[in-house]
Amino acid sequence: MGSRHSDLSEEVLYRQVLELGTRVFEWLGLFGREQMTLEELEKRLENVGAEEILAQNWGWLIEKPSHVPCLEVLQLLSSLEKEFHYQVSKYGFTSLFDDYKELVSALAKLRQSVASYKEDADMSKLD
Amino acid sequence: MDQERYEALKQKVREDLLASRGPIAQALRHVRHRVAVFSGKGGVGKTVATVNLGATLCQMGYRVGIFDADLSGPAIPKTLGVLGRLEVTDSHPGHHQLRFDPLLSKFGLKVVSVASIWPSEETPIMWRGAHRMRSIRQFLAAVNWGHLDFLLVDLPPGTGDEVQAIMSSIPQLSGMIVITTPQGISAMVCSKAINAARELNAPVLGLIENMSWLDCPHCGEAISIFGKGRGERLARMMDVPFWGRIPISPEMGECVDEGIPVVVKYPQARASQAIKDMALKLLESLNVEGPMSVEEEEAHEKHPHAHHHGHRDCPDEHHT
Repeated sequence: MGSRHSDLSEEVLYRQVLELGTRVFEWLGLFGREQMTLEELEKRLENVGAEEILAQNWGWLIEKPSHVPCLEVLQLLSSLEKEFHYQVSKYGFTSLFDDYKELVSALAKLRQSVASYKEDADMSKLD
Repeated sequence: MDQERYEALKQKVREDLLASRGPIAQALRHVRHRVAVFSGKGGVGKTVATVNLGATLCQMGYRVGIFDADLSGPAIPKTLGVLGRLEVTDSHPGHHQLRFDPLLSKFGLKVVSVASIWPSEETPIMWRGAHRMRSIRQFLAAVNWGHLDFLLVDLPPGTGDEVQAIMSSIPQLSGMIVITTPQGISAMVCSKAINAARELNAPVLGLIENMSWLDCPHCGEAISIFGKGRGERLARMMDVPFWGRIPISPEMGECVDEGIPVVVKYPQARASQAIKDMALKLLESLNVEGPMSVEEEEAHEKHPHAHHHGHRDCPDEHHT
C-alpha cells in the first residue's frame, strides 16, 4: 500500500517522475526521428520502472486531486510499460505519436506542481 | 509461404497465445462467464441494467463481479453505493506491482472502476485513444477477481475503438447483452452495435428494452413515453433473442441516487420482476443451472468437459 509523504519527499517524488517522464519523452522523440529502433524503444519502456513507482506510492497518489498531475504521468508511463507491444501490434507505431503529445501535456502540468514547491520555498524564506 | 506472410502468421499466433495465456487471461482464469453489456448510444440505462442484473444473479447465489470499462462516465460505484478506493495489494519492500482486490458492495458484488482510483469525482480522465485502451487492459489484468461465476463488463457507449479493444481483449467472451430504449434513434444505433458485435465474433445473447413505459401513478395506465414495440421489432429484425422490457419507475431513480439496486430495495417492483426474468434468460442462454461450489469449480477447471452440477448439455465423452 502507498505510504504518506512529507512535503519534502512529495517534491522528491514529483521530480523523480518528472525526470522519468522526460526520459521517455526523449525516447519517443528519438524513435519519431528514426534515431531509435522500435525494438530498442520497446526494450527501454519495458524496463522503465513506472509501475513499481506507481504501486509503491499508490495510496498517496490517489488521495488528493492535487496529486493528479503526478498520477497521470505515472499511469501513462506504466501503461506503456505493460501494453506497448499490444498497442503497436494493434494500432501501429504511429499511435505512439498520440502518447508523445499526451506526455508533453502531462509533463507540463507536473512541472507546474514542481514549480509550486520552489515558490513555496522562496516564500518561506521571506518569512 | 513467403517471408511476409510467415511473419504475419507468426505475429497472429503470438497474439493468440498472449490472449489465451497473457496477463488478462491469467486474471480471469477463475471467471466462468464473461458477459459484456453494450449499447449503441449513451443514456439508455446500461449501467443501471448491469448493476441490477448483477445484483439479481448475486441474490440467486452466484458470485458476480462488475468491471466498469467506461472511463468517461464511470457510474458503477455510485450506482452500487460503493465508496472507497482500490488499494494495491502486491506492494512490499523490494517488490511493487500493480495488483488490486476489487471493492465489495454491500450486496455481494465485486466492483472495479476507474472511479475508484481517481482522486476526485470532478476531475475528468483526459486520456487519449491508445492510452485509454492500454489502461483498460492494464486494469483488467491487475485485478484479483478470484472465483467468479459471472463478470459483467459495463462497456462505454458506442462502437468505437475503445469498445472493440475491450471486447477483443477479453478472452473467451461468453457474449453480449444489448440495451436499447423504445426510441427509433436508439434502435437505429443499436442495430449498428449488434452488427459490430457480430463482426467481432461476439455472440449477442439478448436484447433488453429499457425505459419502456411508465405506469401512471394515478390511474396505473401504461404510458409509452418513448414509443412502443421498437425493441422487440429490432430484436426480430436483427435475429437476436428479445429478453423483455424494463419500465421507467420512480423507484429506479430513487435507488440510483441511494446506491441501492432496485432489485434489492423493491424486489416486488415491476422493474425488478422484469430484471429477474432477464437474469433467468441469461442463465438459460449460457446453459447455467446453478452456482458451483469451489470444489466443483476446481474439478471443472481440471476437466472442463466432464458433467458437473451447474452445467447441462455437456459432451458425454468424459461423463462422470
